[in-house]
Amino acid sequence: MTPRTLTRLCLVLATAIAASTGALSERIEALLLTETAGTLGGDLVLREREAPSPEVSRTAQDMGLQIAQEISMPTLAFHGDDSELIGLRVVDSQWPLRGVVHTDNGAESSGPPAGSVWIATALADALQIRRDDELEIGARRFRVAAIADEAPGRGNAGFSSLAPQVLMNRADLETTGLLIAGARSRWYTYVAGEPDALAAFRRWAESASLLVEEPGEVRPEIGNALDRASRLLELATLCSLVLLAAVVFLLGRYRHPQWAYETAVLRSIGAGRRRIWKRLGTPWMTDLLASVAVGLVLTAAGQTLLGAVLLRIEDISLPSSSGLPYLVAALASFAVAGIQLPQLRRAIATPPALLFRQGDQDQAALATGSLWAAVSVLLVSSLVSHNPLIIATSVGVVLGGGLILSLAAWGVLRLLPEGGPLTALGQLQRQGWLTAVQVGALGLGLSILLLLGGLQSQIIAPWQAQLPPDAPNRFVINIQPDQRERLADTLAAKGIHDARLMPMVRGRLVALNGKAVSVDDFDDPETQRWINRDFNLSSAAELPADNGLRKGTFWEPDSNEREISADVYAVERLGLDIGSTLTLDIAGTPYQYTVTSLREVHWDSMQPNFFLVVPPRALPEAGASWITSYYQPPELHSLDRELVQQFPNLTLLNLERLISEIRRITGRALTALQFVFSFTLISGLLLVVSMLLGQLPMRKRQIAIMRALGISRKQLQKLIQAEFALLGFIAGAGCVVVVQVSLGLLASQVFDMPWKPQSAGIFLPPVLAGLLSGWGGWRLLRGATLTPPARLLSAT
Amino acid sequence: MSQRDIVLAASELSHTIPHGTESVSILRGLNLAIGAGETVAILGPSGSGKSTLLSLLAGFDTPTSGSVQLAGQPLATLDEEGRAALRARHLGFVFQSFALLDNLTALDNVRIAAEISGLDQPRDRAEAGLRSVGLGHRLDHRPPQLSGGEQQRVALARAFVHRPPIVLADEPTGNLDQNTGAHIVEQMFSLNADAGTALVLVTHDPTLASRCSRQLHLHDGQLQTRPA
Repeated sequence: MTPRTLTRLCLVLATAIAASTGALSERIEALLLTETAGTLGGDLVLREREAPSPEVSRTAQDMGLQIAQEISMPTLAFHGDDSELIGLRVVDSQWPLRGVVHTDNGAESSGPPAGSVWIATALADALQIRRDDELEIGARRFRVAAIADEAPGRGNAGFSSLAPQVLMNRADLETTGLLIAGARSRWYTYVAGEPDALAAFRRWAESASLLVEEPGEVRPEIGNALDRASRLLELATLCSLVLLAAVVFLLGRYRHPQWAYETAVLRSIGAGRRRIWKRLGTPWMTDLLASVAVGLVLTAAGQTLLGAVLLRIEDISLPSSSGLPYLVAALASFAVAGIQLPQLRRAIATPPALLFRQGDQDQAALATGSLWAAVSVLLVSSLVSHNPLIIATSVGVVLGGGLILSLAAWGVLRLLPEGGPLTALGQLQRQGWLTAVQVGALGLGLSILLLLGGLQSQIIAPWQAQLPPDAPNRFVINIQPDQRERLADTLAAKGIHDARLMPMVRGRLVALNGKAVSVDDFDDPETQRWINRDFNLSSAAELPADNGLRKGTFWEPDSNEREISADVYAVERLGLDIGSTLTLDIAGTPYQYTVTSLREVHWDSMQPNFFLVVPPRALPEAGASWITSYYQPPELHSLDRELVQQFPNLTLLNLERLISEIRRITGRALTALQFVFSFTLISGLLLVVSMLLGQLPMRKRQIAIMRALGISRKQLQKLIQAEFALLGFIAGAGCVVVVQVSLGLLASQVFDMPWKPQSAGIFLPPVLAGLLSGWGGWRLLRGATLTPPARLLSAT
Repeated sequence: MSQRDIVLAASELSHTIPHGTESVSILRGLNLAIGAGETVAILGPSGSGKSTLLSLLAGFDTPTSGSVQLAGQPLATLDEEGRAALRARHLGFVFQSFALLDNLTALDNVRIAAEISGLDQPRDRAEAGLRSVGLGHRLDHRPPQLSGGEQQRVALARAFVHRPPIVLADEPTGNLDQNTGAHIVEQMFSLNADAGTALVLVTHDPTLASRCSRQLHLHDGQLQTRPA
C-alpha cells in the first residue's frame, strides 16, 4: 500500500466518519425528540396563566403548525362523602398532538369523550371507585370511563403536578363552573409540525415574551441522557478525525520526497512552476474529490442500511437526515486533506539541485506543515463540534497522548543502560526519536483500543447501571414526620428496605446576597416562574452519589453552619457562586444560607434530588414533610392501594413509563456509539500502519546491509522480533497510563461520573502489545529478510 | 598459486537476467582465482557487468550457472543463511554508496560488523578500526554528519574490522573527489598490507587499477588481461 493509496483511504474514512456521525446524531436526536415529544404531547408547549391570545393560534396556523390546548387546575373530586385533591387536565379534541394516552382500555390517541372522565389509579384507590362509577367535579357529575395513568403533557413532567390526575373533555369545562376569575389555572398550548416552522414559531413566541418549552428542557432526565450521548458521539468522531489528520500529515511527509524529486527532475528539463503544479496538483485534487464522493456515497448507503436495521430490530423508523451533515463532512475532509498542501507547495519549490543531494529533509516544510496541520485540526474540530471542552479533550487525547507517550519512551530509553547494536534495546536506543515517535503512534492506537474497552466497562456500563432493573419506580411525597417510621415498617414488611427518605420544607426566596429580590429583578421568564413559587429545600449529610461536585467543598455531616449547596440549575438562574447568600422565608421566618458548594445533579438516576440542599442541622423542622423513592416489583402491584388506604394524605407517583423511556434512549445512544467507535478504531490502526509504512524503506535498507555483513536470518528474526516486542511493551505500558488518565478525565469532565483507576489486569496490555508488535514487526519485515541483499541494495 | 592460497575462485560463471520476453547474458563462462593478499582491479565500461560479478562473488546473488568458492567453500552448496555466515567470517565489502546505517554512530556501524562476525570485544575492535582510518574523533557521529570521504572510511573500517581474507570493493572512490579518493585508496592498500587481505576492486580509474598487482578487463562477459 502506497502513501497515496493510504491518503485516499484516510479521506474516504474522514468523510464517512464526519457524515455518518453527523447524520446519525441528527437522525437519532430527531427520533428521540419525536419520542419525547410523544411524552410532552407536542413538539413545543407554551405555558400561560391565562387564556392565550387568539394571535397564538392564528400565528401557529399561518405557519402551517397544528395546535391543541389544555387547561389544568387543582380542584377537589368527590365520590359520595369522600373527596380528594386532584390535578384536573381539561383537553380539547386535537390533544394530544404527539403520543398516546395509556388507559386500561389500551392506547388512545385522544382525550375522553364529553360527559366522561379518565382518572389515575391513585385517585381510584383513594376514593375506592371503579370504572363507570360517578365522580363529582365542580357542578357536574361525570362517568369514569377509563383508568389512565400515563398521559402526554406538560402536567405529567417532573413533580410539579403531584395530585392524581383527571382528564376531562374541553366541552364540559364551562358546565363545571370551575373556570372562574382567580382560579389557579394554567393554559398550555401544544404545537407540532415541521422543524423549520417550529423554529420560526419559537422565535415569534420568544419575541412576544411567551414561555416556550421543548421536550429536552421539560424533562431534565431525558435532556441529561441526550446531552451525554451527543457529547460522546462528538468526542469519538473528533478523536477519529484528529487521528486521521495525523495520519494524513505523516503521509504527506512520506510523499514529500517523491514530489520534490519529481519537481527537481521536471525543473531540470525546463518545466515551469505552473506545469509542475498541474502535474502534481491535479492527481492530488482528483484524489480528494473522488475520496469525498466515495465517502459520501458510502455514508448514504450506510445510513440507509442502519435505518433498515434499526427499523427491523426496534420497530421504529428513523427520520431522514438533512444534507447539512454531508456538506459539513465534505468541508471537514477538505480541511484534513489540506494538511498535505504546504508540503506539496514546498516540494514544488524544490530546485533541481536536489538531484545532487538526495535525502535532504526539508525542515521548513515540516515546520509550516505542522503549523498548517494544527490550523486544519482546529478547523475540522470546530466544524464537527461547538463544545470547546470536547474539542480540547479529543485534540488533547490524540496529540497530547501521542506526545506524552513519545516523551516518556524517549526518557525511559535514555535512563536504561546502553545496549549493544545487535540487541533490541540497543536498536531502539540508537533510533532515538524514531523509536519515541513509533511508541507514540503505537501507544495511541492501543490507547484508543483500550479506551473503547475502558469506556464500555468503566463508564458506559456504570452509566447504564445508574438505571438498574431495580431503579426506583415509585416516589412518595408529603410524608409527615410521624408517618416516617410506620411507612418504613410497611415497606419493609413487603421486602422494600432501601427507600431513601429525605426531608423537604418549602421556602420562598426573599433576598439574594443580602439584597431583597422579587420576580421583577430577573429578566428570564423561567427564573421569574421559579422565583415566584416556593422552593423545595432538603438536607443531606453527605454529597449523594448521583451528584457531581462542581465547585467548593461539601460540608461535614454534623455541620451546624447555615450552609447551602446549589445545583447548576439554581446557579445559572440566580447567578450564584461560592460565598453567595440566599435568604429563604420558611414558615414565616427568614433563614440566611451561604453557598459553600455547587453541584450538578444527575437527574437520570431517578433518585430524589433537590436544587437546593442544606446540612441536616440547618434545615428548620417547621413545616417539614418527607419524600422517598423505592423500587416496587411488579408482583407488589397492590402495594400502591394499601399505602393510599393506610396513609390517605400521601401522594404516590408511578414512574415506570419514564424509566423505560430513559432506558430506550440510552440503548439507542449506545447503538450509535458502537457504530462511531468502529471508525475510531480503524483510524487508530491506520496511524500504526502508516508509521510502519513510513519506515519500511529504511528498515529494508538496514536489513540488506546487515545481511551483506553476514548476519544470519535467525539472528535477524530474533533481533526484529525482540525489538518490536520491546517497542510494543513500552507502548503498551505507556498507554495503560494514558488510558487511565483519559478515562478519569472523561468520567469527571464529560460524563460527570465518579471514577476510580483500575489496577486489575494492567499488565495485560503491555504483554499483549509486546507479543502482537513482535509478531507484526516480523510479518512486516520477513519478506525483506528473504530477499537477496543485492536486490535490496539496488532497490534502496 | 597453489589451491591452498586461493581465497576466492569463480569457475565457468554465467549470469543471465530477464529483459522483457528475452534474456540478457551478463557473464559468460567467466573464470577467476584470487590468491591470499593479492590485489586485483576489475575494469570495464559501464554496463559490462562488473558490479554483477562482484555481487555474485560476495554471494549477494546466485549465478545462472557456474560456481563460486569462498574460503574453499562452494557458495552453490549454501543457502542464503550459509552464505551470510560465510561472509561474516571471510569477506568484507565496500559499496560505492557506502551503505552505512544512518541511525547508528560511526562506531556502531563498525561494531555491528564485529559483533556479527563473533569477534571478542567488538567495541574496542571497532574503535581501533576507526582510529586506523583516522576517524578517532568521529566515533559518535552518525553518517549524515560525516563527509563522503569520512563515510567511506567508516565503510573501510567496517569491511576490515574482522580481518577477512578478502575484501571486495565496488567503485570505492566513485562518489568521492580526487583528493579524498586518493586518501581512501591509500588507506585501503595500507589495510590490505597490514592484514594481508586480498583486495578486489571494481573501478573505472586506471591510476587506482595500476596500483593493483593484477588488472582484469571485463568484456563480453569474460575477463581478459588486456583491454578489448
